[in-house]
Amino acid sequence: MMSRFQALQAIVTGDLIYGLRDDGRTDLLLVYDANATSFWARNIPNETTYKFDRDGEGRRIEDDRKCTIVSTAVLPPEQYQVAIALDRRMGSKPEYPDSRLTEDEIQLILTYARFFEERLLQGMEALVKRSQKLRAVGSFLTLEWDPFNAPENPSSVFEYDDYVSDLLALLDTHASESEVSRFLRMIAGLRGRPPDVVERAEAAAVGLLRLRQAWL
Amino acid sequence: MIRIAERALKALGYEIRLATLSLKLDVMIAGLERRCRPDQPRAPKGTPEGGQWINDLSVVGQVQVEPEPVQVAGPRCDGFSGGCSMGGSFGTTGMYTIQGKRLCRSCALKILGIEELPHIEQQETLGHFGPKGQQ
Repeated sequence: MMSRFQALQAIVTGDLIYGLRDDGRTDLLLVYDANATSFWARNIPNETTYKFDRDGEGRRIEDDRKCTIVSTAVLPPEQYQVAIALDRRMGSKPEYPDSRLTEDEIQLILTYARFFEERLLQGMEALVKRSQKLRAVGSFLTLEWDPFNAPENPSSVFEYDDYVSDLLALLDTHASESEVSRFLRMIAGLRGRPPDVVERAEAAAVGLLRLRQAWL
Repeated sequence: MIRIAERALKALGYEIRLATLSLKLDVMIAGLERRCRPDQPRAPKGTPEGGQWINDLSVVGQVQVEPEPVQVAGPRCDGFSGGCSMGGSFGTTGMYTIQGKRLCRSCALKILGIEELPHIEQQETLGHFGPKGQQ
């Protein structure tokens, strides 16, 4: 088995690699340029670009967000081809209906994180665990507590992005139900969410404590 | 007797006209006095009102600041052919940026062809195509 150092040194143009940002979000990245000290890659779905050093640490060119390469596992050939085709299509900025994702592309987007997180570079487990927690908390907020698909006044998928890491830190301190509930009411107020969202804060706090139990 | 009465009436008429003219003259003089004040300042040169009579020197050159417009909603959805311009939720907040377009949720789902996915998968998929600053 290759060490993390060896795996990162072996990255070449055309590789598909997997990165995690410090907010827990995932990047399916296509390497489009590489040299002895650095490599450049772009996120396939949203076409943002990154520059990485050979230690696997990089920054997004557009906004300087940090990203860490946690897996360089090789996708099965058919999935690799789907990813390359999606990259080309997204790069061409297709008009509707050509912009619609195929079933294979949806499948790739929904499953690549699991594929790579089951095949990590050495020493990346803690970082991945934290990212999984961040994503779980974020999903809970915008699916359970303040649904982004509510018929009236829905939240954005990104509504609570700025608060998820603070909420996870609060949960990690073994905060009580009332403390979590108070935090939720506060962020709902900061985001100007409607009163019914605030009213559901206590029930949501119970759900978050249950989620925390599942991590133990 | 009649002549005396006619003269008296004529004299009265003159007096009335004279009084009316006198009143008009007073009004005109008062108006002129109001318009011309010896101590009235003039706007200094180099200002937009330069040389004109002004009421208050302290306001010369000051730019009228209009109140900052308050944004009460997010940016509008750009829409697209086949999207909300066809009767969906046109004009609602464009919270997603996909392929360079700012789109509302229903347009975002439609442009990616994922309207039929379960909600959790819609959210997961949209998260990957989000605005560059956030996703």
